[in-house]
Amino acid sequence: MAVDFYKPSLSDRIFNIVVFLLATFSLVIVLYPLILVVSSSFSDGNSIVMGKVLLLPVNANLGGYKEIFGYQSVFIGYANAILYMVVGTLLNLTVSILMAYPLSRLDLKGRKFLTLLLIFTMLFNAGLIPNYLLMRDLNLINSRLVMILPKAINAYNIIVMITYFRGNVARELLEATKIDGCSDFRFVTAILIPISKPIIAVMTLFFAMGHWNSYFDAMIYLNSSSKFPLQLVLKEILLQNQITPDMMSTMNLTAEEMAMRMGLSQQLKYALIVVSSVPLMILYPFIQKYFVKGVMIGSIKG
Amino acid sequence: MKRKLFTLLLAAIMAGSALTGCGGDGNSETESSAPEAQSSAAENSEASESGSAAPGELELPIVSDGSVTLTLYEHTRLGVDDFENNEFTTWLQDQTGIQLDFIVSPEQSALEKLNVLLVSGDYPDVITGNTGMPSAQINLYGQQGIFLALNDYIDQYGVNTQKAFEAYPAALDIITMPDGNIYALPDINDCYHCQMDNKMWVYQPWLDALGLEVPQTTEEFRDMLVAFKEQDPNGNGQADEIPMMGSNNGGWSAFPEYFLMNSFVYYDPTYCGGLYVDNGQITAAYTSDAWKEGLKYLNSFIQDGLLAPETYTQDNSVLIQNAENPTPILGAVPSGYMGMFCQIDASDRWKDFVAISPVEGPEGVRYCKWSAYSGASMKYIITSACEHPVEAFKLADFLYTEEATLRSCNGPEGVGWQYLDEDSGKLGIDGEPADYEILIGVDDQPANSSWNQGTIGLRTSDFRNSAALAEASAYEAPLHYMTEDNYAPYQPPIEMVIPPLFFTEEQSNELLNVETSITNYLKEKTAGFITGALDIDAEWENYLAELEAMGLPTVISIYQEAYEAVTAN
Repeated sequence: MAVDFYKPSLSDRIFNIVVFLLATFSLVIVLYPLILVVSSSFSDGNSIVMGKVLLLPVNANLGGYKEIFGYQSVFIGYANAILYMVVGTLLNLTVSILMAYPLSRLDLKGRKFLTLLLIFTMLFNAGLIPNYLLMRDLNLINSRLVMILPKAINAYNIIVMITYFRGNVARELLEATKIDGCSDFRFVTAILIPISKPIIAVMTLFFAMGHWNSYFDAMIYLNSSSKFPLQLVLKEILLQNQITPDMMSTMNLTAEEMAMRMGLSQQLKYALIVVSSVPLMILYPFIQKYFVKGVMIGSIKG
Repeated sequence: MKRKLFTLLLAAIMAGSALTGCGGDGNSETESSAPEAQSSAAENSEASESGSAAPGELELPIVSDGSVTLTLYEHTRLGVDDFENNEFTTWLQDQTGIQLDFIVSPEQSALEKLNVLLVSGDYPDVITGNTGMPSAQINLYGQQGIFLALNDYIDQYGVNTQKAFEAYPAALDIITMPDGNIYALPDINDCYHCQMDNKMWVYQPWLDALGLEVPQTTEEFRDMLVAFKEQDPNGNGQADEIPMMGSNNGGWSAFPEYFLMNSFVYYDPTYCGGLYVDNGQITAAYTSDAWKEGLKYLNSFIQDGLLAPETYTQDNSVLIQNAENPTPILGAVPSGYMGMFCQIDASDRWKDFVAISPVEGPEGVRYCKWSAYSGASMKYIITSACEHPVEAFKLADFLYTEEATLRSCNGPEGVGWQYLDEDSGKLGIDGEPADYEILIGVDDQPANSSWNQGTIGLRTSDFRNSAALAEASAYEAPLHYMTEDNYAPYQPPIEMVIPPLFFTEEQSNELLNVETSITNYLKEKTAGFITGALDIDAEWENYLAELEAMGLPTVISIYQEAYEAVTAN
């Protein structure tokens, strides 16, 4: 039987048009500031201040980017942030999968108790000072590991993973592999991970973003500026000219200091924003395709 | 049954989590050790009176065998990539022989991180930089012995420190606590024009074009703004002139009332929104009838289109756009200095703005706001964890020398600055032959060559004025002279200015809650009254009642107590 495409009715058409308009409107609202920031990063400072940059770069030049990479601290911050993000995310994923899979299997002895323990840790937070004392006693203060180890387990994400494995990894699959003599470890590496790509993709994104944006831990636990991640450097530079009256008296701000803070060219700020957002923006499209792909196509029939 | 037991257990555990709040080791220790610290503080002050005279010169190197390492708590500064490899650090280590390690915190969170370190018992040897720690807290830690009392060290070893106090005696007032002890050394940076920074800048070419004199009274000021609006001073046939405009955030003293209110009542917004001393009594400027008159005066500006209402909402960048418009359209701007509304390095527009004197109000009031005590702030603390306090103190003493100060702020000699010979022919800002010149501006310094004013130093206004006039800071000289000629004559008597006050912990806690809400309320209401969103006469009683309900009398009485404690000496 031939399949002919049915003609959309009038109400369908109107519906399509309305959806299309709404979507375009949302797109413009979200996209315009983004374009503006990118354009400003290529425009010269005076044009930005005078408000001449509306859509496209004015007096395009690479001065802002050159200036940024003249700041040693930006390079170091970038390198550190990428290091923490990559290593941290890998550790997070490994640990999360190793913990979530056993807890998702209903035949694990003591499963209820272990899950309870996991949830238990979500109830409390000892607070800043006890955490600091703990890090100090573990000799993690001012060590790069402090940005990676304490955050290795995120109970909430693990629970999400448990739910996903329970719902999407059929018991029949496991039984089928067991018949063929597959060990549990082999099951995880050869079968579980490839079919759980959506959840792994989502978790990678969450963890990567968490690491990339982490400011507070770095601020409290790290002491030497060679270990600071990019966010610390960013906050310094971008908030330089936030000056309040009481800061004036306590900080002895002089005209030169003000000049320095103001003079941080606008262009530098925008270039910095672009530079620090680029890694995550690049990461997302690669991960996105895993969200959409189907899961267990063709593995189990019926 | 099992389920019930389980539920009970869970409930017990959750109840147990309430116990996490008690037993903080920090709090109970402070209460018990405060009385002990009082007696040791008393001993300290006795000892300081019998201290021996300091030797004549600070000997360098301070330590010759490399055995002393000090850990400094610093915060990041723009231009300082890292402290360990900084050129100034290297020079300091060479000169003094002391090895320096650093605990670095981001500038914005310096106080937060410092508090974490102090509460957890991990004290650095020396705390320096702008942590923003309030004096009440410094006092508290000093009394507990966590911060060392430095009076003896100053007497015995403080060669350059004593010279610094001689050059700027107000510093001693600022750093001496009510019990007579000094827990922190000051950074002396006497920016003359910053003391009177609530200025009004008027565009001189428009005055010339309309044949107007600089206004001397509030009436003349108003007439000037009307002339700006109606007589087309920029000559382009369009009524595009904006007589006066300021900005709401990102500016420096950019509200017109900062300048104009002083023609009605002495107004210094630094202290809880505007407190000052009237015949020995702490008074609020913003509850007086004179303030009400001033509000009406400013409100009339908005009603007649003489003041742009966007002043109270806009960001400073918009102000800059208007001031730098290719055809001049802005006549008067309240600001701390021209660089805040003009682009000094990109155009010459700033050169045409002059800072006019405070104008005389209808009752003859004519003041300029004067921050008489702003030249020094506490910036160098030695903690009890330091095993070499004498060396730590001598390091501070060394930082007060001229060369150390110059290198710390401007970079290496010959690169950032250099001394000038007598016959160099260059004049300083004060008109005398210059002693030294700054070779590159603060923001152009090569990375990591200095600490960028990150620690203590001695920069009196004489010292700052003996720097040679330079292109990069060409605004310094006119700024200095305008302040001296037009503002200094209208300083209030020093008794009207609130001196540095020291609050106890309870006073600080009380103030903390109340002051913030009062200042925010004030800002909102003042903007509302001036822009006409609120009717001044109709709302005045409510406004006063609201301030009282918020706790203004408490604030005033606390300030009064602290004021009397300081002036009793």
